[in-house]
Amino acid sequence: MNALMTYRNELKVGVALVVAALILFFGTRFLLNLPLFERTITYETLLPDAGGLVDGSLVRLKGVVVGRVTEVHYDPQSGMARVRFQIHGGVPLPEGSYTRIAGLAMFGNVEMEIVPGPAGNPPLKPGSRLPGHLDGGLAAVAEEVPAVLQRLNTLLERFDMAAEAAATQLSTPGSDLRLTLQALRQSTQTLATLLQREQQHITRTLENLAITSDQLREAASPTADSLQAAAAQLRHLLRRLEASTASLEQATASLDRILTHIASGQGTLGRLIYDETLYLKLDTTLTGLNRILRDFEANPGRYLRELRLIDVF
Amino acid sequence: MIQVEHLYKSFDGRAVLVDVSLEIRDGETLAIIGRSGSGKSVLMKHLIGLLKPDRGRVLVDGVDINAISYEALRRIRRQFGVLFQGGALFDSMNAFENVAFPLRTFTNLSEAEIRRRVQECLELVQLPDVGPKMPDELSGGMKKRVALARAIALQPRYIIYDEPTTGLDPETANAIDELINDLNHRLNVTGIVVTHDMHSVLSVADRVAFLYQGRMHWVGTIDALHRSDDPILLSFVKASEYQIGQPISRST
Amino acid sequence: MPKSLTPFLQPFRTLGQYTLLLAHAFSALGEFKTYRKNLFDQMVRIGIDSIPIVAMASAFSGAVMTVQTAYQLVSPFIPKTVIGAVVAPSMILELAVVVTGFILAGRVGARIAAELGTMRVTEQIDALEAMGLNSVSYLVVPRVLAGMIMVPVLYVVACFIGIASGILVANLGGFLSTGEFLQGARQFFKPFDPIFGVIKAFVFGFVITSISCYKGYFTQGGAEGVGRSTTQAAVLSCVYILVADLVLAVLLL
Repeated sequence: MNALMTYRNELKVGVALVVAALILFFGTRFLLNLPLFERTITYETLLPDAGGLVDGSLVRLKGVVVGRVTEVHYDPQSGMARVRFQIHGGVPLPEGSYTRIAGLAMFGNVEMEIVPGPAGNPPLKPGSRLPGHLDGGLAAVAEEVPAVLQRLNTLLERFDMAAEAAATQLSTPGSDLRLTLQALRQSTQTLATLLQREQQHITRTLENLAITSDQLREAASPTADSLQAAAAQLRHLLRRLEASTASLEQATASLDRILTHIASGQGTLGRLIYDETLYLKLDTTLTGLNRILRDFEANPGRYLRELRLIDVF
Repeated sequence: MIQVEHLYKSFDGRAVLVDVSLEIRDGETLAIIGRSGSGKSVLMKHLIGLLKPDRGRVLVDGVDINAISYEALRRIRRQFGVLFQGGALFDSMNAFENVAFPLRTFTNLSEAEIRRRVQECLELVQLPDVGPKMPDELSGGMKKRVALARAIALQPRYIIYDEPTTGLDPETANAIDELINDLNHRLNVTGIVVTHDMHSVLSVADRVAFLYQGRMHWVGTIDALHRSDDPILLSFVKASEYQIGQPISRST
Repeated sequence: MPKSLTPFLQPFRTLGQYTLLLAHAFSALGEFKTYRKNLFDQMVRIGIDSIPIVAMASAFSGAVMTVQTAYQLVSPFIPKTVIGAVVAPSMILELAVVVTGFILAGRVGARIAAELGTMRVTEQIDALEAMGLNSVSYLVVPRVLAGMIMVPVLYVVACFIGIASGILVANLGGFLSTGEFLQGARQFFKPFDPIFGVIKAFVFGFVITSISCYKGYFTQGGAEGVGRSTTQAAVLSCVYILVADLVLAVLLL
């Protein structure tokens, strides 16, 4: 009793220190999403590009947070980013699992995703190294773009020819169809001009992009971010153009068919005029296309600003 | 033996001690007197190395206390007991713990031995029952006596009394003087009394050192003091309402 | 030395005196026997006794931070989890430790300066020295050590209480759920954050106690001097907490 009284201060201080140490330890693990008592397993992976991963970044498996990145550093031997991470002890990783980066550094939410191997495979040993994959990204877009542009161009030429043929044959002035076709042709020409004008630029840019993207990734992250954003924008534009191209293709096919019919004397002009399906189809296509064109011309920056930015390099 | 040799000290350009020399012999009780601000307390602090002189030396048993390490100085200080002006009791401890403090800090005595020694010291200062009281529950005189008990706890060879009777009523002052006399003779220590109270000086001192404007103006025995015709000394003594040749009595 | 130079030399004199005191304290670290009892005494008085006030202050700052962040970020485009992502790191990196530091500057800094100042003007420090005791090791070392050990403990308590009260208010006020708060808190959490906080707390503990000890130990001029030292200790502690905060942020982040 007496001894306890003498050391009462020591006791208080000791308890406070232990409690603080426990809060610190478990609080950190709690905020790191690590299990409080269960043990964790450390793995490591080599990524061609860490993409802004830092220690503390989340590790997800099928979208579920299962652990944290604990260490990121450059590995001079392999020339890659070596990333160590801890995941919950209860989560088995089958052999054949690999990692990849998700998210944009710009929004501060770069994460590592584990793509698990086939479920039947034996689990990986703790501490083993998972391969890292780089998917999507700029290189892929850069490869995709010229093909789409090429297709679009061919299509426009075809459409132009068909429209011209139609216009020549449809001599009745004032008919709705004729006006529509005229407008359509005008739009097409504008688009073709624009594409021709921009094509060289886009192609050159994309070439640069393909070459420099890898080096750029290593550079300052704001650049990498805008590069990412540019890729996203570009991909979006291409999707829209592709969609329009698809419906244009359809319309052109219909038009071709009808013109063939007319030429072979099987149909009449009246039928064509009253063929509402075709009319509507053409009109919709036209509207959609026009919207893109207006957008493109009025505000080319929206699509091309990022490309120009890259062009500066 | 304590020797003070040609001591100079100034604060912010103001000279407080000028060429002060003094010898304090073993077993005697020396009174250092002077007006307030004459440098008495400063001189006293030099004796235990609380202040460092600008020039000159202080030798305690032949050792220059300003030329040795802090550790060695502290060992020398343990031979001193100092009674500070206000007592300087540690106000976080009660009277018993105050007296026990040097014993606990510097000896390996058992708790029972410490208790016995503290009681002994408190009885020497005639306050056997104040042990559990905190300093702020004690009167000024009692504080000084407890502080004295603390100063003698380690059986020092030298005891320095800084203004032991200042601020006390005459009766308590007399009691303190008797206590000093008693201690000095019973414990056979060397006493240094810093004071401006001539009554105190005449009742306890063997010799007197008079500091005037930072200089050692006059040193001599009580007898010599009675015979002195030094005007400055006489003026000081007179101001203390003491007439040379008359019996010692305090004005009440 | 010309007298006109004196005002310019004063800061250097102060710094030198402060450094020498600390050097003296450092060299007295070995005299554990002298300050052992005082160390635990001070750890209780600086640390344990400050827990209630620190807990209260951090509970309020966590709650206020949550409510105000929620108020500022009313927008359908900003996910609610952002509140957690703002409150938790702010608490861990800055608020908990600075609030703790300011409270201790007032509570502990002033007390230390008043204590030592009183001891100085009533000659208790001289009495310690006259006994042959190392007054710095007896008075300064235990206080500074206690500060460096206990302020990190208080910081941890402040973090815990602050974030917990943030979560509580988020729930009670209907701003966001515990899960959303924690998701946000975890999103930007780095394991270095609490370590940085502990380092800051450690440094603040040193800043507060060493400045207060310095001010108290060298008090001059009676009761008035004690008052002056006390005020200066509290004010200077606060100022140097902010300075140390910036320096550490620049050095370590």
